[in-house]
Amino acid sequence: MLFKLIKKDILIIRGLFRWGCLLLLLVPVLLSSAHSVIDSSYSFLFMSELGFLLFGQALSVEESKSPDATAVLLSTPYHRRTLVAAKYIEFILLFVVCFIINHIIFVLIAPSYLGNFADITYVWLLLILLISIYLPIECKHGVNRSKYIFAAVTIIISIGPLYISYITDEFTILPDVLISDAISGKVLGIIFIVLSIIILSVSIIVSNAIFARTDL
Amino acid sequence: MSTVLTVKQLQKSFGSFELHDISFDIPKGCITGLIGVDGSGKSTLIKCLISLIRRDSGQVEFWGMSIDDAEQEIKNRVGLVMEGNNFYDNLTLHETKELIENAYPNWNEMIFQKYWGCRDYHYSSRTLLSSLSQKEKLIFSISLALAHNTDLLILDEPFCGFDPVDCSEILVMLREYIQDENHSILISSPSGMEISSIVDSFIMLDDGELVFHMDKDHLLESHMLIKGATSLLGNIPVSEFIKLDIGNYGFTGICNDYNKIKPYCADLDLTVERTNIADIMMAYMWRRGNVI
Repeated sequence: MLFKLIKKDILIIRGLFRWGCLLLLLVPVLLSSAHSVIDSSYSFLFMSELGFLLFGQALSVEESKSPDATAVLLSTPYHRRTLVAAKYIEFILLFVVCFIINHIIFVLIAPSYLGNFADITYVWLLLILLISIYLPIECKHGVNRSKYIFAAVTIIISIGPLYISYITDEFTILPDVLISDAISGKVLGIIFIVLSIIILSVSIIVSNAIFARTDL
Repeated sequence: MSTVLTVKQLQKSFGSFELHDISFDIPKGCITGLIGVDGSGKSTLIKCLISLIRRDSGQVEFWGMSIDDAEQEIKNRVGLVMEGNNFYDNLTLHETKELIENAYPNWNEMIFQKYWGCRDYHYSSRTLLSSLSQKEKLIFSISLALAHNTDLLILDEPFCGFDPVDCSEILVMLREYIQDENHSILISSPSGMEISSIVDSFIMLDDGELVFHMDKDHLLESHMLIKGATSLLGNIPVSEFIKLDIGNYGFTGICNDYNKIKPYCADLDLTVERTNIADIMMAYMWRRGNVI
């Protein structure tokens, strides 16, 4: 059931899917070729946010064209919680695909700029935070009202190049406040993973609780 | 006759709108028409029945099982066709069918082919849902809704914007389905006219309240259109009229119990005509002050 719902979401945005994937592929290719101080973790963040924006927005547009489609699906034995789970899995899958592609491209083009464990897990934490905020709002207010989140992400992404132009040689994606000699990168990474799991679990519980009460 | 659906004191508030204390039964093997103008609460009620909208209070039971306790089991036996058939237009017919089919453990391909198969040769596996006409979309939706050995088919305003010829083709499908005595249909309509030929009973909603639930034959026999000179009004019990128009040339009224008026008709020069469900509905709305 879950697989069919994920497949359905990919199918309804298939028009954009190929071009979107190509566009995403350009992010690590361009950033790794630049041989600047940007490492793979920043490229992964940028690529994933762009993917979230492209595919999330496309899904919102398609779903808003068929406002009763969710009601039709839920008049069948599909569970509400299955629909919620499908949304989380779709975005996590997107980030996983972005991570793998980004990593492969950096290994091939700029292996010396591969992000360390702490950086990458920190990016994962940011991405999990993004969907953990967005999806409960989508469950509560529907896709149309949730578009403001997309607008916020667009602004963050557009600030990205400006941010890069100011970065120094010591640039790391981790904020300075989190870098400490007392805590190793490995421990920091594990803390980020645990935090991501906790945030994601809370978000799924909240989304399920909201969607169970949502009138369709 | 056993009961398919029992609704007891169902309440739901949406801001200023309220479904107020709705109670009715739907017997097995019958077609029940749910009528009422736009905004009367038909779609809200249908959505409340299958938990797409959470009700504030009241009970909904299908085949004696509460929707709260046996939602999945009930959904396996109920098929819903919603107004406008707004599903994902970007999906092909095959993809749509696959998505719905996957939800049902009791999917029966032969039933789907029985209703849709004869049309299937017109379309390739790449035909998009958006390329179907409104009628084809409805037939496709009904075929999907019936293909899991459905015992109760619920249709929410299926004929919105349809011409009589298209309606009659769909009605033939519904008649075929109801031949099985275990099958039942609940079908909503804003006027009731297009479904009047097939329904066994009518439920009327107005402004979120249940106005009547009556057997069709009894409804059409008890509600009569009566015309006569205005001067005759003093000789008949006016309180029996649910709607009364008095003009310069006489009066026109609809009574809700013709047996009470009948004795007067023999002596007075009154014209008595059968009326239709739309006029009866409008008459009740007039009495409730919801129509001019």
